[in-house]
Amino acid sequence: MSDDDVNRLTPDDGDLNEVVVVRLRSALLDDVVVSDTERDHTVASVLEALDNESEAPVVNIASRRRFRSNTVLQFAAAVLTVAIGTGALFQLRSGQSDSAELSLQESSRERTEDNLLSEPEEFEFAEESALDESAVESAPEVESIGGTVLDSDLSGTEDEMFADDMVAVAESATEEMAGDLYELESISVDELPNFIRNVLQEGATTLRNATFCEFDNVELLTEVRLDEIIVVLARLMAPNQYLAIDIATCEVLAEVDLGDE
Amino acid sequence: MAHELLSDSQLLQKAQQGDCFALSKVLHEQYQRVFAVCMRMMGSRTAAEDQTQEALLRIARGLSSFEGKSAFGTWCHRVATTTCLDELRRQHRRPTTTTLTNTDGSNVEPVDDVDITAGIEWSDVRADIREALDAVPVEFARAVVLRDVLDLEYQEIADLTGVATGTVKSRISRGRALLAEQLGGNRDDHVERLTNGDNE
Repeated sequence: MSDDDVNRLTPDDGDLNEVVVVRLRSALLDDVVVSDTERDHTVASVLEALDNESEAPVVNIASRRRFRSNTVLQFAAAVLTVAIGTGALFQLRSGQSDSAELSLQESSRERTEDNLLSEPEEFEFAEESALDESAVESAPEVESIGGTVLDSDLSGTEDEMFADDMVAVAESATEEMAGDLYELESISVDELPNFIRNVLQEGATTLRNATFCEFDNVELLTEVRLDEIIVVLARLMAPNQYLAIDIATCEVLAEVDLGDE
Repeated sequence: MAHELLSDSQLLQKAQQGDCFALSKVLHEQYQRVFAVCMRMMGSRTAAEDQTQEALLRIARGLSSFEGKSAFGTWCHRVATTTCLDELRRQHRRPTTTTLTNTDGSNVEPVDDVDITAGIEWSDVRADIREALDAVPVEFARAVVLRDVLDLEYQEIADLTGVATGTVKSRISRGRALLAEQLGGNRDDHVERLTNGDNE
């Protein structure tokens, strides 16, 4: 409300108290001096905190620490190298297109933890994401915020509250993950290229769980159970190239090139 | 579509879907009001900055649960208020300078003052508000601000100020009347300013 609007409201215009309230609110809330630098710094701090905690519903933060798509490919190559060593590499050709090629490292889950931890900046684990998303979803809506906090503050210590919250979050996350396991379609490796084609035809590009391993320059397509492993399919910015990512470990399990399709 | 071209509701929707740039823009837009609420509640710029950051964090975390049952600004306002209430309770502070009486009859110790007008650059147009607030006993003015400006519930105000809800209600009623009286007395001045275009 502008100064004009506020000051045109005189006692003759209506209830005196309402006029006072409007003018008070305007004066006490709208006239507070805000530094642009302060604001930018605070918002940046909030975004950084969310990023660090992996609690933000963030799919892609290009300007912040993330890794580039070429790093994805490099890591995929590293996975394949390990796969060759273990003799578990499959080269599959699509039945519909000569250019469709799939490389799958079936035993990638057996990679050592050291291998996983060698890229600490690049992966955030799905277990955290599931918990975090549940926490976000359980955040209170307008009326419930004050009451919930007030009641809990009066009834217990902060530690007790925290413990209760964590139990609730864990239970919610468990239910959510169980739901995912039940609902997801299950396919085999052979079916992966066709599955991707179908997903593309259906235009399904929205994931229910958007927070998981965070890759830059990829578009998330969907989730599917690939040989009983829950994977997320992501499209690279490069044309017709796709990744199947194990959301439990953030490993790239397969890279699919659909060629000129 | 570029973020600059999105409406507020589209921007909010994108932020809820996890678009970080949209989230950043939403937080920037809400910052002023959230900070103002925190200033009124906390009374110092430093404390307000801390609570603003915490409130914005809560807003971002809870964004996906916001269902649009109220205006987004109203929701953010409430989150900011609740964040400050939590901090004040944590500090066991009472934002008043007067000696108060608990419901059990014991006195509440006076604590750090909270300046409800801190951080305001008073323009000529607003000067009458400051004069009116100064003219009203602080406990009445603060009760009105907590209720009408910061949207606290009666019970929350009672908890904060250490008085019974009945006392809170009477202070609000009396404070409103006194403020209205003060501001009503300046009404002619306002009309004159508007007529002369001095309110720009």
